[in-house]
Parts: sequence; structure tokens; C-alpha cells
Amino acid sequence: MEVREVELPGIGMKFSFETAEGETLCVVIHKTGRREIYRFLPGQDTPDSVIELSDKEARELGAILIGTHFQPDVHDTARLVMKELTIEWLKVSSESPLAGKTIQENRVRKLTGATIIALFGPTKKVLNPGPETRIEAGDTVVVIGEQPQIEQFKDRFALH
Amino acid sequence: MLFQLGILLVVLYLGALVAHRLKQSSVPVFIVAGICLKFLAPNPEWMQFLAQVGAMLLLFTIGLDFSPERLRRSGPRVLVATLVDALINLPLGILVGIVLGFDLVSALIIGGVLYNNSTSIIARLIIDFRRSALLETEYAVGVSVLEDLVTALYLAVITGVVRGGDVQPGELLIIIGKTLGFFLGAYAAAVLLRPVLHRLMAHESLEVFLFFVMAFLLVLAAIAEWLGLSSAIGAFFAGFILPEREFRERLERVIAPFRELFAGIFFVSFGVLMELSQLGQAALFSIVTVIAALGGKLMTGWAIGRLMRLSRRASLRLGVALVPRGEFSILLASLAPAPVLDITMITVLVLALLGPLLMKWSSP
Repeated sequence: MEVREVELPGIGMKFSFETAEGETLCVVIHKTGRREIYRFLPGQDTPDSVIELSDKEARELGAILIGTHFQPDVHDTARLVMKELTIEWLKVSSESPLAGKTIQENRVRKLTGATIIALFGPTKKVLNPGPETRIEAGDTVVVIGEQPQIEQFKDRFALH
Repeated sequence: MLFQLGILLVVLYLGALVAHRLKQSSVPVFIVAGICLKFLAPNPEWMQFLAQVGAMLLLFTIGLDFSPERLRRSGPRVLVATLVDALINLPLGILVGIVLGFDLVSALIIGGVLYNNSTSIIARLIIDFRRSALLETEYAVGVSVLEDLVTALYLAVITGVVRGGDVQPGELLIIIGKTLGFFLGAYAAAVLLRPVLHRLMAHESLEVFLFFVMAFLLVLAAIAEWLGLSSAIGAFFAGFILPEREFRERLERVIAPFRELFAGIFFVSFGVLMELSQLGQAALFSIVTVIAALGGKLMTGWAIGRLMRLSRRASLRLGVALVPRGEFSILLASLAPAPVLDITMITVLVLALLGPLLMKWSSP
């Protein structure tokens, strides 16, 4: 997915991309902090609808969209790429060496440099898990690190 | 003096209030307020000085929007669009000046007046009409910002010509040379002095920051004036040189209150300067300039639209977005004899009123 980035002097920044359905979504971040989301139907050069958000609302919506509050099943693996860091949601299968051991036993940070920042299971939700926390098959781990560290983490523990 | 200053500030207060109510840019409201003020207080000398400070702060803020990086980043499409805009509107404006029977210098000034769009009014209209995401908006704001740079250089040359009186072709070349030299000097300074400026501006004390920025602005304004250009151009390039990206918030916090106050006085003072005795003739001439101003920009929008393969509607919307004129036009007109200033003020006012109406009319 390619995101086009254009500076609008006096207004702010514009980000746009095309969705799989052929619609174009445009996000304008105003200098004032206001956000607008424009939806263009395929082949149209004027928007079909506009959503306006305050800075606070936009952040809340952003958090909802990346799955802070609820991770749907399809998002067993999700990824958030920021400038320096990547956050990835990964489902732990029974083949993974992670399953059935604690974070310490797996020596996660020592071996890969990445850090597990949250752990979700069918019945549990652990934020900032300690070294004694046990990971079971079927859990989803949220891991943060630089891109190569995350890759190493996935290789090492057979996660996809 | 204190009494007159008090009246002036009350007028500014009322003007800002009305502008907020009408959801209008405060520029036309302040001009009208100035015309009203004419009957209350004569035009004292100190007001002209405050207006000059306002002009410097306005242009400093416009200059802040520029940096060598941004010039290099603005793509070839926007550069071409800017060229198209200049090639249509400058000659058209000069022609209008000549047809109306003005001398060459006044005609050149009218050319600049009709050429330059008000970046601030345009940005405001685009935001209010929810057009930020439309493709043609990239051209509208890109062109109007680059226009400010072209106009700043144009203004510098015209100021030199007006100051010099009867200017020969040789002298004109010297003035153009000085202007380009000033621009290149500012460009080099912006690139070379960046690390030093960065360190000086990153000082923890906001007070130190304020005095540094203000001193920098005034020293450059003084240098420009000493070179026979104009203080406003010095301020513009002070903004160009200072790194703004990292300090945007700080600059805004420190400069904005002064800018709003003095820019208000700047616009009001030109309302006061208008010669109401010749209003009839000026109004008659304004019909021509308004038509040229509208036609020129609609043509520009159409030409850029054709070149960049925008749709017909989008080209129309682009032309309409480029209609408002403002601070630069007034600044240019202040160099010319009275009738040109009057015509410019009326044109700016009429276009400011037409701007939102045309935007609504051309809405998708």
C-alpha cells in the first residue's frame, strides 16, 4: 500500500492512499491539530463524504483502529510501523518455541533485542508482562522493537 | 496620542469582533474600519510607523513559510503552475495599468497588485469550504506560496525604482542585481548559518528567544533599507533564513500576538490613507481592475488545469480559489500615488467579498 504525502503550506499535511475497493482515502492534518478524513469514490475528484475530528478524537479513533481495545481474529498478526520502531501483533502457534515457557526461559530480549509489551489470550490480558509470565499456544503477543529485531524475533520463535 | 491610540485599539477590537461574527478574514473588515476611523482621527505619523512594523511582522511570518529545503522540495508541477500564473497575470495587470492611463511605474505596481494572491485568505477559504484534500488545492496553495517569493523580489525592485526617482535602464539593472544579490545572500545564509542559528534559537529561555528573533528581523530589515530595497523585504528574508520547522510552535507563540496587533494597525492605516475625495473615479477604475483580477485568475486556473489534466470543474475551482488578494497587493500599492492605492483597496475589498461567494458557487 502506497501512501502519498503532500505538504499544504498554510494548511498542514495531506496523506492519501487507495483502498482495495478503489476508493481514495485522504487524511488532512491541519496545523491547528484538526483532522479531516475525505472519502473519494473511484474516478471522482470531489469527496463523497468528509469526517472532521479534533486532535483528541483523532487520537482516540487512531487507537481504536490499530486495535488497542479489541483485536479481531483476523488481526492475529498486525503491524504498526513508526519512524524508528515497529509494533507487531503475533499469534503463538503450538509449534512455536515460545509456547509453554515463560518469557525469561525463552530469553526473548537477550536473543532478539525485541520486547514483549503485552500478551492476550482467550481469557487473559497481560500488559507489560514480567519475566515470569508464561506464554501458551493460542496467545497473541504484542512485541516492540526495531525492524531487524522484530524479524529476528519472528524467525527465532517460528511466528508468522 | 494616548487618546488616539485608544480609539485605534477600540476600532481594532470592534473589527475583530465583526470579522469573527461574519466568519470573514479580518483583512477587509480592518480596511473598512480604517475608512471609518478617518472621520474620527486624522492620520498621525506614529500610526505610519506602527503600520510599518506591522508590514515587517506580516512579511516575516510569510517568509517563515519558506526555506531552501521547501523551495527544492516543491515539485516541478507547482513550479510550472507558478510560471503560468506569473506569465498570465503580471502582463495582464501591467496592461490594465497602461490602458487606465497610468505611468509605467504605476502600471508595474498594478501588475504586481493583480498578480499576488493572499496566501492567508486563500488558506482560510479552502479550510472553511472543506477543500483541503482536493487535488487542485495542492496547486492553489503551492502557487500562492511561491507567488509570495516572486512578489517579494518584485516588490524589492519596484521599491528601488520608486526611491530612485527618475531611473535609467542602467540603474534598473543595479537594483535588480541588488535584489538578486540579497536573495542569493539570504539563501546562502540560510544554508550555511543553519547550525549556528539552530543553537542560538534552541536557548531554553523564551525571553532570550524573543529578543534574538526580533533583533534578527530588525537587523535584516535595516540592511535591506540601507541597500535601498524595503524594510519589509528584509523582514521577509529574515523569515526565510531562520529555521522554522523545529521552532514553529515557539515562533508562533512569541510572534503571533505582536503580528496580530501590528498587522491590524497596518490594514487599518491603509483604510485611513484612502483619498475619499476621488472615490468616484477610483471606483470606476476598480470595475476594470476587478474584472481583470477575476478573469486573470480564472484563466490561470483553466490553463494550469489543462496542463495538469485536471477536470473542467477542478480547473474552475482552482481559478476561483486563486481570486482573493491581500497584504502584498496593499503593500505594493502603498508605493504608488493615491489613486492606485484607492483602486487597490477597493479591489481587495470587492474580491474579499466575492471570494466566499464564488467558492460556494463553484462547490462540487
